[in-house]
Amino acid sequence: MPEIVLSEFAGLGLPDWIDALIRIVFIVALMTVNALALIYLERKILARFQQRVGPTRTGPFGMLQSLADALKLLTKEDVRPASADRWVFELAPYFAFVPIFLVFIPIPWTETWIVRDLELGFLYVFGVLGLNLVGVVMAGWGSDNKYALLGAVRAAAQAISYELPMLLVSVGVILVVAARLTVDGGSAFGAVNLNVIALEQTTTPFLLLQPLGFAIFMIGALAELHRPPFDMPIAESEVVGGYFVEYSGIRWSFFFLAEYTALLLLVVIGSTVFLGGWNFPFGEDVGLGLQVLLTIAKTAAVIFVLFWSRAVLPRLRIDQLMAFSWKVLLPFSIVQVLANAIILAYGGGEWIIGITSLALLLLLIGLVYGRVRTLSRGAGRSLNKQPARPRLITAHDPAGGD
Amino acid sequence: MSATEIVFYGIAFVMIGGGLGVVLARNIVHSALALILALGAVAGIYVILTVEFLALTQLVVYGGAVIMLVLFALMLTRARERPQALFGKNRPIAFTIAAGLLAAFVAGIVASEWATANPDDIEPVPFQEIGDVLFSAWAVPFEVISVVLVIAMAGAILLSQPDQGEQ
Amino acid sequence: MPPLEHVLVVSAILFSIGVYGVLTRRNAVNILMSVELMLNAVSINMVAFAIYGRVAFDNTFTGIIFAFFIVVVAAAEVALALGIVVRLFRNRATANVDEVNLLKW
Repeated sequence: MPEIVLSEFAGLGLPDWIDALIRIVFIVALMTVNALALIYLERKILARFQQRVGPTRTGPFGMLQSLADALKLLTKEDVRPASADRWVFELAPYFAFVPIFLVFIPIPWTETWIVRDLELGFLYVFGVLGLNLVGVVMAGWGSDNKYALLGAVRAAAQAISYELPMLLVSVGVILVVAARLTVDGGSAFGAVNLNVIALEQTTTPFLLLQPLGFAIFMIGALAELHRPPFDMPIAESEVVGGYFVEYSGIRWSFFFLAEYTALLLLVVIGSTVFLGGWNFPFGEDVGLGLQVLLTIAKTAAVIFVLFWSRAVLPRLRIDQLMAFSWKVLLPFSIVQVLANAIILAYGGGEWIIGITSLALLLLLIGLVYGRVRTLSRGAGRSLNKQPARPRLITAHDPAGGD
Repeated sequence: MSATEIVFYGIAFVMIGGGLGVVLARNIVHSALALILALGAVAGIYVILTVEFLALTQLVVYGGAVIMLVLFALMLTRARERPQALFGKNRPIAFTIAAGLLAAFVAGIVASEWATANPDDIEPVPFQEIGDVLFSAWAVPFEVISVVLVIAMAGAILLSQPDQGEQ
Repeated sequence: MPPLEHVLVVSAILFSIGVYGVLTRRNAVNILMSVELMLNAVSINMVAFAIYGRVAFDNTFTGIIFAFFIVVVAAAEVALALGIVVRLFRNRATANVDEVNLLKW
């Protein structure tokens, strides 16, 4: 058995089980605070986008609002529908929550603040995160509710479809890291380690080398997290809340906690892999405190963009969502991986990879834009039988109806 | 007994429980959930046998594939609305065969002399060496496997496409 | 590490459970699940032989590679078998293998 490496508490000479306990308590506290803070911030930011002020009553600037909500949820009655499948229904929240909790393990907050430095960290993240679906499907089926089942099926289909492009663009990054590690005839050992990936980005974040990868990773993250514009599994107007319709009280809050924790984790992983994590731009000498601040700042910036997208983007249809993954994102990510592999195998410089990826990204944006324009024109004609009236995106087009 | 062994027996217990759930559950969705439990426990056994790489592959592949299996099980059999006889009439015969097989296996395992190392000085397998072997000595089978996957995917798409005029 | 015999016995039990499931279950999806159990039992055996026999047999990983291939082939098999079950259900409105007793329909 591999020996458990105790990195930061080793100097204190604590026994293993106390060390493990400290880490678990730390993670649980982080998760709770993170969910409360993100819910508050999301409400505030969304309110700003919609020219409202958001919660103001509870505490200074309404900051205690989500704490009050949490207390209300904890004291609420735990209702179970009479026709629900008892054990499946009651266990589902935990099955949805525990995998997310486990994803904390390989994440490098700073150079040495890692619960456990896993050599296969990236693969581990995807393997464990996917298990979250078991809980979702259990909830959808166990509730004995048509809407819940529909939501769960949508969530499963969506997560499986968007996991593929995410994995493939991650392979693109791993190829670059492996090429750097093997440059002096070394071994590619560790290219799947999240900390090694962060370590390779002292001067250039992989965002510059793989802009397409970052875009696809973030789109996939939006879909995995059921956030707008991909929130069909939990859309109120379509499936009245999705797979957790029948839940209330503490079980419902478990789903919510899982969702916001997954948001934090996927964004931290995204910013570690593409934005340089704790490393870029100050490197290793800057000290642990600043490194963790750097991680938090990058994460916060990306999370803000995700909240922003919720405020401005309309929801897709479910068939559009599936088609977008299988017909657009998947081919693009395969081309990306192939291009990386060919360029690296024939000794091309890394800047060629960056240019290829950027060209692919521009092509992707062009394709999507052109498609949206044709679609909105066609929809205007067929629905109104009138001269094309721009719908959807072009409603904000300053050029007006064309 | 070392800690590893205790964990191993715990995982083995879970795995066999999951397996029994798969074949004995009255509800097909319950048996699919039990299958997930059993396959997760198999991944745990891989971890104990020091092949973490295989354990993660197991989770990634079976996580997706088995979820799809569950969904199909739900939608196809309409598990709630049409409770149908889940078991055939040949239960006693099947039980005899399975028990006989198990007895034969155990007898063979106990009777054999295994040329193995002492369990305590087994080193974990470095997965970089697995990768080296996989992409050098086993490169051709690897390619063949990928062709098999493509064919299977095409076949599955063809099979599940609606007929002409059918919707 | 547990002794090799214990690992083998555990996987033999899992395999026998799978055999029992294949023989008794009537639902095609359920039979498929039992087959998965049997495949996994075999994989455990392969990995166990590879790990415990590494010293005795000159450091080869054939068992582990085989288990890896089994996982991949199982994924392909699940996809195809489910395609067949979908087709079956569409034609016969049943996923019950006992009711599929015509060679032609």
